[in-house]
Amino acid sequence: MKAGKTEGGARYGMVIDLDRCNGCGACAVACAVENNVPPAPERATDRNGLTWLRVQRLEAPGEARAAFLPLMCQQCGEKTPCASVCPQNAVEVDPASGIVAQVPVRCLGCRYCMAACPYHARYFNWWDPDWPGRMAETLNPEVSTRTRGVVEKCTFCSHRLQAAQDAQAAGGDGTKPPAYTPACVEACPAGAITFGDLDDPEGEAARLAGAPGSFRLLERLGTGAKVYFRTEREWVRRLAGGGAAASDGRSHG
Amino acid sequence: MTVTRRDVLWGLGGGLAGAALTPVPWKLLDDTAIWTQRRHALPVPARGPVTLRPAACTLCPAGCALRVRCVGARPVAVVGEAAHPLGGGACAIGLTLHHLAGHPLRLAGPAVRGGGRLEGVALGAAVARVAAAVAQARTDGRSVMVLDRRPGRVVSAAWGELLAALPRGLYATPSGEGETLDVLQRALARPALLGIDLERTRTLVSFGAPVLEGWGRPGRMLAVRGRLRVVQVDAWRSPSVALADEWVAIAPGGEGPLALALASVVARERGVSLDEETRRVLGASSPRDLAPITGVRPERIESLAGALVREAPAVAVGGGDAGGGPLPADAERAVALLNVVLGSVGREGGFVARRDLPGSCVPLAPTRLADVPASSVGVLLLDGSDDGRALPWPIVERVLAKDALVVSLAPFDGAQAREASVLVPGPAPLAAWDEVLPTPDAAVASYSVAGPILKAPEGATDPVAFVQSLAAALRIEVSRGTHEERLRERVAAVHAAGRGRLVARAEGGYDDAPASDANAAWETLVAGGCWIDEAAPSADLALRPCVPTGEAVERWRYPAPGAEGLALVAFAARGTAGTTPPSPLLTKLYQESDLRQPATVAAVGALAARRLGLVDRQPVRVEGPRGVVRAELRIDPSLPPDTVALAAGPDPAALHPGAGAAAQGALPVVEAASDGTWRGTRVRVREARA
Repeated sequence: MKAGKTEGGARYGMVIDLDRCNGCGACAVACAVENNVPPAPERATDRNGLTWLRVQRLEAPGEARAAFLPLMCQQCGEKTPCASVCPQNAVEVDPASGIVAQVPVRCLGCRYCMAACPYHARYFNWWDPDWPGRMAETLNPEVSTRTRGVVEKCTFCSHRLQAAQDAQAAGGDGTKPPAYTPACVEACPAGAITFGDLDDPEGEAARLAGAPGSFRLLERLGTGAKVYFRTEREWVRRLAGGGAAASDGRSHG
Repeated sequence: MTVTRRDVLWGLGGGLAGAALTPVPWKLLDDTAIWTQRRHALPVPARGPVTLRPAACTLCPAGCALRVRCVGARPVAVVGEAAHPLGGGACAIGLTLHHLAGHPLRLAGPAVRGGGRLEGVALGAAVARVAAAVAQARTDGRSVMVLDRRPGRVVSAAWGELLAALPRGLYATPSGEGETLDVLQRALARPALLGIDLERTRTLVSFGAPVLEGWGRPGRMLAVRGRLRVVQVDAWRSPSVALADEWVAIAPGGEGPLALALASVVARERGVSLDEETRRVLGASSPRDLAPITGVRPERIESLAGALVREAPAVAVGGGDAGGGPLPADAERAVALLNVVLGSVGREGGFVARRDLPGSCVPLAPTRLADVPASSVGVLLLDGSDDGRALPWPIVERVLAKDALVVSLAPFDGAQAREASVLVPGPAPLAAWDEVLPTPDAAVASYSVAGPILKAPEGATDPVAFVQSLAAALRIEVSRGTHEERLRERVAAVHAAGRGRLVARAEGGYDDAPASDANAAWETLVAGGCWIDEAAPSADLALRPCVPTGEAVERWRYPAPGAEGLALVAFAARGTAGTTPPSPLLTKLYQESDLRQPATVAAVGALAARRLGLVDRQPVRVEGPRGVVRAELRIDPSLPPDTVALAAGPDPAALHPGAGAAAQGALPVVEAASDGTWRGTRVRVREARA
């Protein structure tokens, strides 16, 4: 499965500063609010719950101080493991944005993609959504409600990209990929997440992704992930799987 | 060729095996999943024009500024104002503010509770019942008390006006996170308001205060964090410990003794001139004297004190946390004394004078809940506001006379409202007028107003209207004017003071927006602006002696032999254990991830688990003096051997409303002390049998 980029397209990605993240969970909650991810049923656990974005706690033995790692779909590039195993073509890498899209109507719920994902960033939806009280009135009409029996994951809030594209088209300016902000980025009170086109040399996201100290999870697999992390703490880098080799930000995708 | 039965069976078997390798079985599974979906039950969100409206979070005193995305008249998302000049952003709890109007525990209208059931009544009937109880309390010589968890609002002033007209009216407030400031303010020779000049503080020592996870205005702390060294003193590895620069692990209850031991070293190193009483107390409080009860080695105390002297200005704060409650009064006095000997009061980067908010109206001086005599209250009115902190019912129950009437104005049937016989729900957050006052730690006063975004349901009663109705029923004259009109008056008073600056929301941030008159100031504030005071001129902040009692020092020097059981360390994130039930969506943090410890998990150290014969993830019973809760055991190697850490919230019953789960967590088992604390609770942890 190749993710050939279209002419003039973008390669959206994010850079997460782990030294700024304080583990407040605002990103996870904002993600659920934005994407109509329902509250957990009573039987749900940390192993079968539906959390498109989950904040993991990293602890170094013997250290009181912890680090927090927001983990969502890493939006792999050329070698997208989930796309390569899907028997239904329910996973597609959008060549215009680089976003790995999940098509729920094609998904048959085999969960091969979950097994293939090295980041454990895909979730099977075991239950019908249940919005207690009158909470259903707060659902976001820009996103469909979640249905049972399919695998789901972070989409980089692609509906916001579509809205930005619409606004750009309405303004008559289609020369550059539109800028937009996913819900988690908008919600982070610590300003730990920078989002943008990784191929825009003037963009902050591209600059940070290429800066020394940035790394990607499981870099050695060569998935071309478009989520980068930064930290000055060596033990955090080691635990996060970035190893000592920092990425130059251009090797994949 | 002869086709045998065996060939047929082979063929069928091969066909089946081959079919298993095709997409057919998966397609069948897929179709089954689709056919069994309850499509009729899937909500279809209504579409409409999208607007962004300003608001403020009222779930705790921080009052973070918000932007609410509405589709038509419905709010669908909440975002913190990142560029707010007082500190931007919002926490995970604030981001679910828009869920609360439709929360399953939301009350539709006035109700009375009888036999464990709620029965709807007309507002007039509810007010008449409360008025009759107030009249009876007058006859019986009992008090009528209002418990206000966010004092200083115009609603607080309305309560004060009513109570001042009653012979035994009491306006009570629970302890809050500004307790250290309160102790210092009470010790000032000349009355003044204090704040913390955090922007210029170099070292912050937190004695159990959750300074890095939800304290003061979190956005302010995030803004100063980079240049602030944080030392967290805690008995367990709290979220603030995980983010602090240094953790001083203490034995439960060691906050006061440690602060006093540090003060004795600091006073010696700085050569502070002390009065006789303070000299005597510090002379008996060397690190060696107090190390056993703190659980910290004397050498560590010496070195920490030295670091505080070197890395000045340093500020020490107590105040407790949202689930563990306040520190004992003597511990707070020890923390205040540490600040005094550090020279942090009245200096840049320390405790500085701040001016009061113009238009503050306090017709009745607040009484601390802990100071209210036991069994003296005939009618308790629970104001519907929330400070985001736990308040175990036994603390409140202590002051109630037999057959006292409890009235709740909270919009929800949760927390203390469950103890109320009469419920007159106010509008839910985002459906009510509200105001944001400065947090206790703020170095300057500030003010903003939050207007309603949602239409309140017919049955909701604005608290100001309720006070006026009750006053009318009691034939008491109180000020007229709606909640909105009173807020306008306050804004006019702020404007008339002629000081400070008004900022308005602008593209990409906030700009100064001087207002020509009070109406213009009102419009700016309602549109998401904020008034920020200027720094107070330097004031005389001379202090009277402020030391723990001799009895407390003796108790710390010669601790009683260890009591039976484990020390309970209760905790909670601010906003998850107050009067407002959390949104069920917070299950994302408390159930579907291990980021936050929910109230259904009890953590003990490895040694304690071994001694008790318990293993990780085993169901256990936590037995306290007042009750028993069930929990799942987790082994946390960082916990001291005689300690169990149990969250006070969120209440899982509130996260799964209607599921029938009983309220769990620390609150049902805590033992309330007469000083309004519950930090001395001892519990037993046993295996739970099915």
